[in-house]
Amino acid sequence: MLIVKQCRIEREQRENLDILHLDGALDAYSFPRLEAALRGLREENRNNVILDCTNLDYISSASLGALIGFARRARENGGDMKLVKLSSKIYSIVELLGFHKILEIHPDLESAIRSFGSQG
Amino acid sequence: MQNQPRGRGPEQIALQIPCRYSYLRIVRQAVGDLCAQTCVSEFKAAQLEMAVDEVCAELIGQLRQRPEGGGRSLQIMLGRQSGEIAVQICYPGDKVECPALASPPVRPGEDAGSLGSYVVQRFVDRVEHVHDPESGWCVRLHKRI
Repeated sequence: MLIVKQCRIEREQRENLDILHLDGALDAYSFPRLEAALRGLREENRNNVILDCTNLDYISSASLGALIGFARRARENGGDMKLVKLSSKIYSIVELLGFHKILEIHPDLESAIRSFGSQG
Repeated sequence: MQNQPRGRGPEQIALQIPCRYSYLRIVRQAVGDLCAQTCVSEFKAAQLEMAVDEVCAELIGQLRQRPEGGGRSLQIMLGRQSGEIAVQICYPGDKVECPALASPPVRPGEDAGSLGSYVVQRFVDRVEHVHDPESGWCVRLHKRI
């Protein structure tokens, strides 16, 4: 029997900041979950977002595209989306695609949170 | 239906998966396993995993829109041959016009919708979309190791 590990996206709210904790793979199967999570943030006008990628083991191009789209809209509204704790494997993909120049990437959650503080 | 990699010797894997996105994880796992067996670096393996995932996702998406699409399957062969990893993904029926194989690819950032195309062509050394009399239409990806 096939046991498919669903990607889990848990949202943590901290005042004007949201942290999405990702666990699993962001691929075509889990893409609707990511879209729903981002849509929820947009509808609530939450523009300061951190993506905790500690337990993320794969990300598809469509998911990367969705993150970039969200980050651009968030910046237009005075916020941003930042990524933390990418695995070396995922970072290598992001870097090869040139997205490390578009998305802000932090080594840990604390530095990402601090960076939002310094923006205000 | 097979949903687990079937060994064909140490450096070849054959898979048959239903046209469902939930099976993409198994395909990526098979690519990763073969790359590990053949001592391909983690970074090259990640690139090949992503290229194969992009092509399979595109084929699944398009095949599912056809009548009986959900009942179809993809036949996937992975193997090492003469300094490269080759992945063949075959599907039944008419040719799928696969945007992930469109040429020339658009650079990321210019059009997020074309990113799949860029990924495939950036991360593998050669891509073919050919008709095989026995297997039907097949996408073949080759990555030098």
